[in-house]
Amino acid sequence: MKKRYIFLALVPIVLSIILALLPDKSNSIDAKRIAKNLKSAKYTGVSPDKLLLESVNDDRFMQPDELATVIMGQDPSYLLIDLRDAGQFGKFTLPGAINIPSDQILTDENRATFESDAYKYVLISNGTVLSDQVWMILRRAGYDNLKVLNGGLNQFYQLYLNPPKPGELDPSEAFENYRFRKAVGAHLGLPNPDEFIPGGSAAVASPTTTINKTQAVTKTPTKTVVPKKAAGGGDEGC
Amino acid sequence: MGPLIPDFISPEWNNIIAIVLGIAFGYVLESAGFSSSRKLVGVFYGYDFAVLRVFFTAAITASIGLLFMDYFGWVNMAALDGLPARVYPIIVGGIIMGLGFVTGGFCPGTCVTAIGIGKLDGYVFFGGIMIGVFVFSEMFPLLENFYNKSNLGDVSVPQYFNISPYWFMVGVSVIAIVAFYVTLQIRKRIKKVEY
Repeated sequence: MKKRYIFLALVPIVLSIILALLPDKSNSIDAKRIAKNLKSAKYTGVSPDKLLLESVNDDRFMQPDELATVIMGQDPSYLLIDLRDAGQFGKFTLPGAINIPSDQILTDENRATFESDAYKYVLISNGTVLSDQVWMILRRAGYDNLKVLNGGLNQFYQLYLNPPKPGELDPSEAFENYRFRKAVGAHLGLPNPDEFIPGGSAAVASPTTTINKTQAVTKTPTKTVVPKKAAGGGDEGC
Repeated sequence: MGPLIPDFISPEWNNIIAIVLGIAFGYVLESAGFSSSRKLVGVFYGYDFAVLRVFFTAAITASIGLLFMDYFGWVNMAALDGLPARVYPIIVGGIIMGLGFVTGGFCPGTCVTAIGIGKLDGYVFFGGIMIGVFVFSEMFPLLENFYNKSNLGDVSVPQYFNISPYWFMVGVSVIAIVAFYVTLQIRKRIKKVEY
């Protein structure tokens, strides 16, 4: 009787020691515990698989026309973040944009900027690549409501400096769009594409109104700004 | 059947298997003599430690078995549900449960077993449980703050202290055997009670 008790008492102890000494527990909860520790130790943001899904999705991109609507409507729920360095930011930027250079994106004070739920943050750089990289960094750090300006400032200015003119057979929306883009251009201080882009030839081809010409003359100061802008857009950082 | 052999038994069988397991559990409780409140409270007075032995044995058998099955990949431990560890509410609840146990002579499962064999005190105890559940539910808004405080989530002891569950299991087995031995000695010294 006594012997049987000792045997029964030894069974769980021996079994659990065997369990502890068994090799390769890659499939077991111990491995999962270590994986979980690694996960909770290093990251607080979005899980890798979710981030991967988001990164192949185009939802984060904001088209230039959407951004133009925001700027024209002075929508307070959007915060434009210019990711270029202070020098480029000083030369020109979009109305209302604040400057957070991409290499300082995770400093404490800049992190605080992204913590508000009140804003949608539009990341802006010269092209798409840099702002997309910053999107990835911020998203991994757990920040939300981030948008990336598709094509960056280069495409943005390209579109409003020289909007593609609709053909005669295009639907009326194309014309509306064209007028909207021209209006945005004017709002941003860009010259009227009708006068500026074709240069002399347009002036020769359409000498319809003298008022237009005088406007062109009065707009010369803005014209001098434009090459600067084009130059600023030209040194694509990414 | 939960995380065990999920490919062979579809989830529709869960309730049926639960009933079969429940009946088996009740049968084992009854055959261990746990439908007698005098046997159950023996653990508090030191004349019968069957409760401690049965439940401790069940715990180490089940956990060693689960860890082995987990090692061989037969069971997905991640799919097992654990109750969230609410530290202070569990201490308070444990004291209340212990008081109820020592005065009533049953725990919730064994009182149903007692009803099964027609014991009147089992019915009374069961009525008390229902009243307690009702009072707790009605009082819940008052207790909610305390209830949710110190919630550590679904965490096990090895997880919380970040130790290997296998060596933890070795420790628990040793503690169980020591407890069995100590209770055996206590029982030898205490006057035998007829019940």
